[in-house]
Amino acid sequence: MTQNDDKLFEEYIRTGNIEVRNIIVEKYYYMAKVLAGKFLNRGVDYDDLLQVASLALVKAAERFKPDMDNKFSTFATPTIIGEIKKYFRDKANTIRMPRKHYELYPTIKNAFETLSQEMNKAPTPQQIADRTGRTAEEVIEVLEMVRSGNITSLDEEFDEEGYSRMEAVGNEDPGFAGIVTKDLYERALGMLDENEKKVIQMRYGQGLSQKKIAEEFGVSQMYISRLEKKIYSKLRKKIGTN
Amino acid sequence: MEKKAIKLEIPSVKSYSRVLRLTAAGAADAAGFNIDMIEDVKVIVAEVFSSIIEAGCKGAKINFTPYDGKLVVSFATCSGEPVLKGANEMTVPILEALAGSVITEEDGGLTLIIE
Repeated sequence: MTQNDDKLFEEYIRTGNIEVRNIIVEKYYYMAKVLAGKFLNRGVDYDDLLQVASLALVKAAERFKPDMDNKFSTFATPTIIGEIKKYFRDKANTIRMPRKHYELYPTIKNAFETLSQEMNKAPTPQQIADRTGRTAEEVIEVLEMVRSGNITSLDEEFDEEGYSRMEAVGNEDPGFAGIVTKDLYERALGMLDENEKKVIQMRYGQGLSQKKIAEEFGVSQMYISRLEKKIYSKLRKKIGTN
Repeated sequence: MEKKAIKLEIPSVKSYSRVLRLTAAGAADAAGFNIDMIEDVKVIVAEVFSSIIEAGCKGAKINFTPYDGKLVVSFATCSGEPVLKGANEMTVPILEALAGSVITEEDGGLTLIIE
């Protein structure tokens, strides 16, 4: 803190002039920005955090005395962090990280699929992050959480028109579904090589589990799972574009 | 009760901060912390790592020792320089506000007790 800052604080204490206080706040506004940035990705928008941090900065400026034997930044930092944490506590009923993750998952999944098609290979977390305006860390966390929990939300939008899974839940028409499935199944088989065909026939023709197929082939279940994903991706490209 | 410690040696590469944050989250989870506290731990470790990078150190050695309801995180630089050499005016206040205890060791290491 410079001598000029000391003079500003002394003048503010002496006169109570709001304009002087505002000069101090503007000078230290960077602290509110930096500290608000530290609490990003917790389900609260940066603008809201910045507002809370700014109000705390004003409070700190009003309470600080230069003879406190502290720099203003040392005095104000815990005040601002305290206010931000209090804000999180007050909002605890409405902010839940898992919910945020659920909400992020469809966006990340869409980006993953679009990028996979565009680049003809799986994207990196950073590429998904760039596409969705999130951080790579968030992408990794969301994917990790969804993988480990194997969860999807019924509220999740699953097509371009914004329909949720809940809206799509209905009764199956066995006859209609049978025709479509049979046609699709036969077309799909024609697009695959021998090994892929065999896996799909065992999986859907004979209704075997991935584990059972893995045992037949003498490979791990993970391998079959990855092979299946590759097959789907191949079919999506061929059938989806045609 | 002390649980098994996690030891991490990480080069001073800014983007590796997320490796550190994810490890920290795992360690904090092992200590039984809730989501808010886990987020605090991530902020704390990223802050110290950023200070180590600022100081131009080659890398950092970090030990996470989880206990029930408590996490002890100790930092040292790979080159033996003080961990907080590159700290800015807000680093220590941030650590003090978020961690229970901030202990600067004589050899320049830093130990944080978070509970």
